[in-house]
Amino acid sequence: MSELLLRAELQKLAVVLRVSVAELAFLSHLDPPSLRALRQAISASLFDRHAKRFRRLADSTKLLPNKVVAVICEKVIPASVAAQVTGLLDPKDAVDLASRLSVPYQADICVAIDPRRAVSVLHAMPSAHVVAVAVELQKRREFMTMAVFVDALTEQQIRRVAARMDIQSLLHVGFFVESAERLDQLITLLDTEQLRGTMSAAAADDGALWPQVLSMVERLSPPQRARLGSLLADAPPLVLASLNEALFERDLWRLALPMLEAMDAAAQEIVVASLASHAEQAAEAHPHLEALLESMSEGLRRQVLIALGRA
Amino acid sequence: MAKPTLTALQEKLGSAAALLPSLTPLDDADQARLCALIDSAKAKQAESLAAATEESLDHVPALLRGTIRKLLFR
Repeated sequence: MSELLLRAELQKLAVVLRVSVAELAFLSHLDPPSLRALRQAISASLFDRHAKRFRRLADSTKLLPNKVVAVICEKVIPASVAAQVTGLLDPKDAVDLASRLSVPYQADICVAIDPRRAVSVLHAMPSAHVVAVAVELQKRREFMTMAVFVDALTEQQIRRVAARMDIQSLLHVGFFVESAERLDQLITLLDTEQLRGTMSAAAADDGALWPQVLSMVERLSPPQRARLGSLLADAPPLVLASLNEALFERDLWRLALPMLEAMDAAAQEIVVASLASHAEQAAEAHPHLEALLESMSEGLRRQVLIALGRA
Repeated sequence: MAKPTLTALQEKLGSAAALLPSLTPLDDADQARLCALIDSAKAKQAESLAAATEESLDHVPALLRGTIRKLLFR
């Protein structure tokens, strides 16, 4: 998990420093929160250094009609500079200007922008416009960029974007969302069908996305964990088999515990019973199973022991 | 005598250094590399900002360029 987060943080830092990820290899022993804080500090410093110039550029947009400003922007203003100026624009002007800029150019701006400095402009953007740019970012698989925006957009904007995204992309984005509270809101916005889709998406492609799903679930509130857990109890056998494989063969038990614990007893029984097929493997392949059993609540431990044929 | 690199890094980041996490796992050589990358990013940023500002003037009527240049570069 931390490997994925680490790589993502290095990618973001590379964008801010305008270098390749390979050039940042010497920072790869820092943990993801340190890298995130380092990026924020460098980004703030780069902005502060030219804050007056950015302000003047923002003010200069008022001297010309937006139609002309839009042409100038796309022709000569690099997206990295436009990203610094965006938050300084009057929100109404920014909305009008955005309607005249190409979607790919705005997606480039999104990759370079610090959304925390542009909240008022972002909130003023019509949802349809936000969706158009989000679809472009999804196409480019800029999941970490999209996740940063989850913290800055309104609930309505997020709802509209989530409705247009495919489930795999939603999982990738959810994994990178920094605020647990916003992540919970994002999951709350998904309807049952979308949530059910997350399970199938996790199981597809040899269960490649289970680590993302389980690590996301670990950060959710108990009601949302339970909601996902109960859907798991209804999931097709193929999905449960894929989860079993992920739990035992990739050692994801500890990550799965919060979801298993949040399920009601009936759902726990169904899911844990399906683990029985792996009972023998479990004891051999999981050297920490005893410690893990100790960390479970009494109810879940009993269910697991039954599934393992020990009770 | 050269400054310890963490101080150099903090100075480079100005007030934003308050956001700086603990970077103790970085030895002096790595911190110096990081300082160099920040310098390079600042130079690239200044370059693209100057180019963008100057090139944008090409789209402005000649009569207004002087005024706008003053406004942007004052």
